[in-house]
Amino acid sequence: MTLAVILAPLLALCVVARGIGFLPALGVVTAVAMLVDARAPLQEFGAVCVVLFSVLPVWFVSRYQDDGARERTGPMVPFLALGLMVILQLATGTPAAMGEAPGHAGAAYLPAGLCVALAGLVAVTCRQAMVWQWAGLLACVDGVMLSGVIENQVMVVGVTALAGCVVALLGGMCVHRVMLRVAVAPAQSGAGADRPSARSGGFELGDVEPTGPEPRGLGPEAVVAPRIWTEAEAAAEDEEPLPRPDKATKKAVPSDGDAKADVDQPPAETSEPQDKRASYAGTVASDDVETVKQNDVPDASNDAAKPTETESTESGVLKTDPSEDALSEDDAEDRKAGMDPAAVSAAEASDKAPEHTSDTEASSATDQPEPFGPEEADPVPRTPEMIARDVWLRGYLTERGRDA
Amino acid sequence: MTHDLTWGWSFAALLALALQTVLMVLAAPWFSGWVNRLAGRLTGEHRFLAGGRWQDIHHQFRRPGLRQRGDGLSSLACRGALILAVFAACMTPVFTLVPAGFPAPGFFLLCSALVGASLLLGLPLVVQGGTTTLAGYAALLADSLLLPALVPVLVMAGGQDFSAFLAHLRQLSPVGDGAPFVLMGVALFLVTAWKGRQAGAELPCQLSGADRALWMLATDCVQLVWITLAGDVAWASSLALPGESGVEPWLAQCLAGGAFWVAKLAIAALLLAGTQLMVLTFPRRARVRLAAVFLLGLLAWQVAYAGQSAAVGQDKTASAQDEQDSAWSDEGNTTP
Repeated sequence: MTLAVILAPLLALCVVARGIGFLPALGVVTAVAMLVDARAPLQEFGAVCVVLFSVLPVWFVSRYQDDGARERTGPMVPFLALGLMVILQLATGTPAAMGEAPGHAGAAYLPAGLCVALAGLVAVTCRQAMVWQWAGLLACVDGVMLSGVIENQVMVVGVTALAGCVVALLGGMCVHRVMLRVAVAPAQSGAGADRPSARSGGFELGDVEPTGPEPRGLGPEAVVAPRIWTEAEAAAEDEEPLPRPDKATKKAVPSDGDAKADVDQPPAETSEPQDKRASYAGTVASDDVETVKQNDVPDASNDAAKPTETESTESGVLKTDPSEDALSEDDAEDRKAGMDPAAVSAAEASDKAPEHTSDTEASSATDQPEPFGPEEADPVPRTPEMIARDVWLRGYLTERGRDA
Repeated sequence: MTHDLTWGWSFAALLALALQTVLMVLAAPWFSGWVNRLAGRLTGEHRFLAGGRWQDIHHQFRRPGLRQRGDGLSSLACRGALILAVFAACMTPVFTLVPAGFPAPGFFLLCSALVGASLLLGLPLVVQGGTTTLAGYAALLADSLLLPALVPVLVMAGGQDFSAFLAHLRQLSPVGDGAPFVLMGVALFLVTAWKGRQAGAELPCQLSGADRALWMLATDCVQLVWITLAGDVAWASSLALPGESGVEPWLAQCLAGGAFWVAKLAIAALLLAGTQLMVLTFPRRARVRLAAVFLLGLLAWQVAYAGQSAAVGQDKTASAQDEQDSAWSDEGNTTP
């Protein structure tokens, strides 16, 4: 019985109470508890494994942003673990039970390994955040390995080391897939001052979008909100962002084909470049959204009668949807009010879904049709610019809320 | 203990007790102010210096009081609480134990005095009325439930007097066989954690004048006595034991014990400031505190009790085996 053996369950309780931050301390204390009795190769192997399994995951998680998962479990969870420890000690520490274990007779005895494993199981069961559950699993591995080392069970230590490797690898892959990398933005004196709205909680959105460090080695489409934000901001820099009221009045007048066209153009001009653009978009519909946006915009704007760059950009994004082009003129009339934005957003989601690896972004992309629900009854049809602004605003708010 | 209690050792023990009591009462506001400042540093706020608490108490002593309804009972409760707190401080070893044979209180009396002081400190909040009444009732309830929560710890100490218990613990190393008592010390330390209405702020007291000063001083004394008690139990080897050697080694041990006491207080201040980072609602704080005290004490008692009972059981079986062997040998001796 040493102090390290006593401290290990307390630190495991801290892991249950406060999260993965106490895991390195737990690993170090567990390693000390292993090495204090004997220095056989089994103990040294167990200590090295425990330290590795405890320090490396914390270092790995520290490279990612906090996912900000809302934890609904209260502060009573550590006491569940503590109560279970008391019951465990009651079951194993009685003199009757100790009489069968000849090695511990006469000394104070605490099944520290089992207590740590129990605390880890409680963390896995009762906590909801992914990193927290991972920390619980790793604490469980630590506890079982401490138990095996104290009891000199080579098979237990070996199997636990293997299981620890699997748990660490799988958890690391989950973290890598779900959480956003930390991108440290250099301090900019003048750039951030003029647009404070660009400041998100954790990082500078402008730094992430164009050439910044990619979240998980994917294309720039991996981040939804910053990309749309830059488009909308480019729109805001070119012209005033608010839709003019005559747009809505013009918007209600033309037919379906014109509704998909740019609303600033006169109806006479609209039809011809719109067809061109539609045919062009049909040819490149299989391409990436970004390439369409880059290629389509100059051609279309050159062909068209000087539409503004913003609207052509947005229409270029929107026109890449082949299903929208395939809509017949007749039935599109009744679908236009309700289905068009939903189709656009769903098409966006389906376009971007293979590229998105993050669950949060995918969910933010897929739940975009839901807020359109109450707007289906809106008698005024929405311009693509309004839709794009809504999409940007939603993504921006999601980003802000997640960072806050 | 090699020799009986002499008059010299009795006077030395009395002197040491007086010195310990004065030291504890004087250091209590400093410790409280230091914890407050450390917690402010951790949470990013700027708070008073560590000596600010003493200045506040001194200032309140000189202010004229504003008499309100029920103030007589409040001032009585404050005085009683301070007396109980000083009594508990007198009984708590800071750097030295009392020699064997010297009258020493039991652990139960010590805990009862501290809990009684806490109850008396909660009384003015209830009497004054106003917004603090609910918090006062909650504090009274939590403090009255503290003694049942301390039952495992009290069972660990047993019926012997506290000084003898610590003298027994003194032979155990805290990193070795005395490890369960470190757990017991943690349980005692948690009594002082998560007190107050919100993180870092103590219960607002509407007293004024000297009563307020007494109230603050008694609060700090109770906190410091709990902390010192926890430190003594967790690491009893730092305490000097008079009577086992000459006077000069005892004095050297006393000095070392004082230094170790300061070190223990520094660690406790860090831990206390850390617990103030946990944001919990007021009823929840009381529940967390009571549950932590009870369960940690129970675990410590189980861990320590398993060893003792196993040793006792082994001794019993060994003695029974010896008797049986002797009986067999007697039989063997008698049969031929």
